[in-house]
Amino acid sequence: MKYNVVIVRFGEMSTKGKNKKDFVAKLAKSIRIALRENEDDYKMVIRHDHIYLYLINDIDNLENTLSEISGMYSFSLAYKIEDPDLDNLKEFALKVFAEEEGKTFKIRARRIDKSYPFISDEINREIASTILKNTSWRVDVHNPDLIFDIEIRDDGAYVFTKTIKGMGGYPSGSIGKTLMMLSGGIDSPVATYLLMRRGVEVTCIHFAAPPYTNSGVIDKLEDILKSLTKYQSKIRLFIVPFTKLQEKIYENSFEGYPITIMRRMMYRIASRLAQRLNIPCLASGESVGQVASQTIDSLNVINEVTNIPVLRPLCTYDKVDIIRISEKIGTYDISIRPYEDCCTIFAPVKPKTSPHLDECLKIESLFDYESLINECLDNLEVKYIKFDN
Amino acid sequence: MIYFDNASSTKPSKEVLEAYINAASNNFENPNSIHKLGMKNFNEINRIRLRILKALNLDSEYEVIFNSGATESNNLGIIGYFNKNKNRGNHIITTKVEHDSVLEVFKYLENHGAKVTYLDINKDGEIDIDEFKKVISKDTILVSIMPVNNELGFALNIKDIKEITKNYPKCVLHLDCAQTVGKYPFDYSLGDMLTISGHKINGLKGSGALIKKKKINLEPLLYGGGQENNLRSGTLDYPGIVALCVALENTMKDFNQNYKNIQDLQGFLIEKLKNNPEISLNIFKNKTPFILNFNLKTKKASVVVEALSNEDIMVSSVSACNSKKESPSHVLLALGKNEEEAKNAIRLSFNKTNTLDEAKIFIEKFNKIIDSIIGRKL
Repeated sequence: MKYNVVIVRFGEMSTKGKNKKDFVAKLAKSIRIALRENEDDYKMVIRHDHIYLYLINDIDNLENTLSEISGMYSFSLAYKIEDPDLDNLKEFALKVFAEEEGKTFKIRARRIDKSYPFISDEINREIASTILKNTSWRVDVHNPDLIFDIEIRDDGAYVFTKTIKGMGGYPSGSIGKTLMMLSGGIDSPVATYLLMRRGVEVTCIHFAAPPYTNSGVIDKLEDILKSLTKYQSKIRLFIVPFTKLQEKIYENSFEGYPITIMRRMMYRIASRLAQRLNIPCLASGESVGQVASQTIDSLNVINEVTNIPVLRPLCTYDKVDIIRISEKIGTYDISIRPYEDCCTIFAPVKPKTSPHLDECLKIESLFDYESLINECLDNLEVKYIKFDN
Repeated sequence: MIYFDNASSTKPSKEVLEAYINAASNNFENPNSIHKLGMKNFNEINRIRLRILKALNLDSEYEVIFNSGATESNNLGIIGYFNKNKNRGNHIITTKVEHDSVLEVFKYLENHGAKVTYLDINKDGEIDIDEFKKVISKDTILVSIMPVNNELGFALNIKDIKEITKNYPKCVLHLDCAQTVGKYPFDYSLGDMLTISGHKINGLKGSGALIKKKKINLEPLLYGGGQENNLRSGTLDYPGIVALCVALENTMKDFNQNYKNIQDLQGFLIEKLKNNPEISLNIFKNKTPFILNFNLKTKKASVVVEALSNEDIMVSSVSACNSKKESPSHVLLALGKNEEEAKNAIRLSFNKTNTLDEAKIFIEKFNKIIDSIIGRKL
C-alpha cells in the first residue's frame, strides 16, 4: 500500500505525567537526527498522543531507520485521505484490496473525531460490505490476513495496513547518564545497547594495558561504538592507561586474587571519573555467574569500593541470548576479532569464585594504589565517536 | 620503523613496482589473444620463463607454471602429482615442520587414500637419514620438504635426501623454496618440483610459480581456458609475472653480498642475545642468517611483540598466519620443545635492506622491554 504519512506511537511514556512533553521532544530530536539527511523530505507534527511524519518525498530505508530509534513503541505507514467522506474511504479501500495479497480481512475503524457522522461500527460495516461485494476477500475478525485500519481525525482519515514494532524503551538521553565499562568483548557492547535503548546516555571507559593488551583493541572499540551510534548519535570513550597499576596488582596479589583486585581498581577509577564528569552511575556488562569475577560473592567484594549505583543490564542473561542480541545489533563480528582485551598472563590458573574482602584489603595495603589511580586519571585519553555514514 | 618480519612478507622493491606499473599500464592485453599485442605479451612471458630458470640455475629440463603464490604451488605440486600418479603407488612423505600449505594438503590426501609419513626433525634441525631410508619404499611416489624452515631458519640436508630418492625412479622430490630463495645458497636442481613466491623476495603478493621437470605429469586444480599447459587455467597475469621475474633476478644477482651482510647482522644479534638470561636462542649448524628465532623463558611472546610494535619494531611470534590464535608452534613442538616454549618464541626475519644500525636499536629497545614488562610467575 502506498503511504504518505508515518504515525509514530510512544513507548512507555504514557506512564509519565507532566514531563511527558520532555520525553516527546527528545524522541522528536532522535527522529530528526536519524533522518537528518532527508530533512526536506518530510514534515514533522507533534501531537499529544503521536508524532506524525508527513512525507514530501520517498525516504530510502525509512522502516529500518525508524525501527532503530529508542522510545518508539510502534509506527504505522499510513495514507492520509484529506476528505474522510465514506465514498472516498470505500474507493481507497477497493484500490488497496486489489493490490494486497491474502484471503481474509478485518476492518478496524476508530472515530477519534466525534463529529464524524458515522460511528466506528458503521464505518466497519460500510467498508466491509463494499469489499465483500466487489472482491473475493472474506471476513475473519479473529485471524485475518490483512487488517485495514482507519483512524478518523479532525484533519482527515488515516488509513494503514502495516504497523511495525519499534525498538521500545525511552528516547535517547531522556533518562539520565551512565559511565559504561567497555572491554570490547561480546557482552559490554550489548549492555551498552540495552542502556541506550532504555534512554540512558552512555559514556564509555576502557582500561588499556599495553603491551599486555593489543593496540588493535582500541580500533575494535571504535568500530563497535560506531555501530552503536545509530542508537546514540555521539559517544565519548575514555581510555585509561592501566599498565602500571595492572603490573602492581599482579606483583602483589595472592594466588587467585589478581582479577578481583583488578576489578576493584577499575571500579574505583570509573567511580572517580564519573564523579568528575557529573555522571551519577556506572554500568557494566557483567552477567551473574558467567566467570569467577561475576559470582554473587565476587560482585559483592568488587562493588564494595564504590557507593554509586552500578547498572548491570545483562545480569540475568544467558550467554547465548547475549550473543543473539549482539548479532542482531551487528557488534558480534567486531567483538570476536582476535585481540586480547585482557592479557591471559594476568588470568590466574585458579581464580577465586568467593574472594574475601579482608584478603583484598590486605593485598591493597601492600602498595600505594592511590597514586597509581591518580596517575591513571591524569593521563586519560578521550575519543569522540560520532554518527556518520 | 624497523621491519624484522620479512619471512611473513617483504616490501616490494622500487624496481618491482616500476616494472609492474609499466606492464599493467602498457601491456594489459590478454597474452592469449592472437592479435599482435596479445602475442607480444605471450612471447615476452615465454622469455621470462627462461629468465626465471636461468636465475635459479635450472636448465631446459624444467618448466615454469605461473600462479598466485606458494600456497597454490604447494597444492598444485602435491595434490596435482598425487592425483595423476596414484596408480603408481600411494605413499607420500613430508616432515613435521612444513608450512601449513603443505601439511594441510598432506592431511587432505591422507583422508583421500594416501598413506602418509611425517618425518621427525631432530634437535639439530636435521632429518634422520636412516629413518628416511627405512620409510621410503617402492610405493613412495612423492617426497615434499622445505629446504629452509620458515619459522626457525634451519636448512635441511636435501642433498642426502636426493641421493636416496634417486634410487626410487617413481618418487619425485618437491621442495617448497618460498623461504629458501634469497635466504640460503642452494642447488635448485635437487628438486623435481619447486615452489617459489614473489612477496617473500621483495616482489608482490599474488605472484608465484611452481617450477617442475617437464616430464612430470600433474592433474590441474583449476579447469578453464587451459593456460599453462592446461595446468593452471586463468588469464595469465602478465604484470605479476614481470614483477616476479624482476624480484627473483634482483634477489639472485646480489645474493652473496646480501648473505654476508645479513650474516654480520645476525652475528651481532646473537652476540648480544646469547647471554640474556631471558632468552634461549634456537640456533642450528646449518641455517639461514635471514631468520633468527629465540624462546622467551618467562615473558609472553605476544606481549613482547606488542611492546616492540608500540616502539615501531615489527617482529613476529610463530608464523604470521597463526599469530592471532596463540597456538603453539608446530615446528618447535616437533623439535621437542614443550607447549609453553612453543608458544613463547619470537622470530626475527631480515631482508637485504636491513642494517646493523637497526639491529643496534632493536637490542636497545628489546632489553628495555624485557626489563620493564612482567612475565609469568614461575
